[in-house]
Amino acid sequence: MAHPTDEYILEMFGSEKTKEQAFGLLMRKYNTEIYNSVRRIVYSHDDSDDIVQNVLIKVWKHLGSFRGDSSLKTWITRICVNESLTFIEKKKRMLQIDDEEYMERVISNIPDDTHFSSDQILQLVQKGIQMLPEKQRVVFTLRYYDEMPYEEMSKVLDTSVGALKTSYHFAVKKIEEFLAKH
Amino acid sequence: MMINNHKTMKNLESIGKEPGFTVPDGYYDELYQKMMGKVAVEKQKTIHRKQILRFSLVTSAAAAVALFITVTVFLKTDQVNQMANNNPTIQVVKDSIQVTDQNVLAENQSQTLEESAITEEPVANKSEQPTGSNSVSTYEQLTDLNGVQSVVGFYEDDSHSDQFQETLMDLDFYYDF
Repeated sequence: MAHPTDEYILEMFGSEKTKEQAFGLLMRKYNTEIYNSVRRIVYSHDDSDDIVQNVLIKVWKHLGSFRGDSSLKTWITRICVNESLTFIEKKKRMLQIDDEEYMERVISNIPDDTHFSSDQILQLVQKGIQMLPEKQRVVFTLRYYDEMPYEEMSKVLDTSVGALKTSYHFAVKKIEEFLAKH
Repeated sequence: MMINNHKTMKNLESIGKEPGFTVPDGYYDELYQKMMGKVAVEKQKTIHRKQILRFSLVTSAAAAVALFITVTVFLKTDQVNQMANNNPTIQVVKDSIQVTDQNVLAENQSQTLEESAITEEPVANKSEQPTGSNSVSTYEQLTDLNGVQSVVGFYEDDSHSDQFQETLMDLDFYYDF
């Protein structure tokens, strides 16, 4: 089934009568992308589920004020990234743990996760990704999995293209080193 | 360095871009249903919030208008009082009203005295004496029982009777013995 265009969704969302219907179409169109964007950053399915719901509520609340400076997908990805990073920070504060302890917790859950592939190599890559600092992990996943152009990433992360390229380069290097060690 | 990076990318790419994670069966449908329910609640909340906001705005506006009117009336009254205090014409009028009031009061008091003086029981009327220092002293002088009795005692003597009547006439004062 072909998804409606963003313009059509936005137009429908502008009318109070068709607002909910438009939101339903938006969800059908972007559900998977939203979930994947979040899950690549936080890894856990349960955490991702909470964040995805928060993201969708934010989209519902603020889509009316979407100015169209970027594409709808970029705008939604930005919300996903911000919500995910905020969630991680909150969780670390709640558990009273630092970055390293949080990373170790996530990595230790990977082998037993029923919502993750049992493939050893995929698990190893995922561990390598989770070992990256949060912002570098975001840069890596947006570029490597979503194949997002640097210019668009620049809009999502409010960072210069040069800085993003450098960050991605170091992320790839770290993952490669990790894979080589294991 | 470039060669090394290229080799790294090739290694990662050889693994593939498969994320590796899965979602529970029917997760997206369930999420859709859950979110549509949440959105309906959010919509109701927004409507309720708008109603509260509208009510608050109307109430605040009414309170602001009431406050404005109160302050304006208070300031105007104060201003008028100040103007009246500073205006010599109004002061003269106020003084004249005060003088007139005093005169009227004094006149009333003297009338009361006259009335009480011609009654048969001056003692009883003493309790109805008007206030006012001057009037009181006059009243007391005229209705003083001892004084009257002494005058009566003096004029009980027949030899003084005519003189007494004349004196009463002169004083425009009548006492029925």
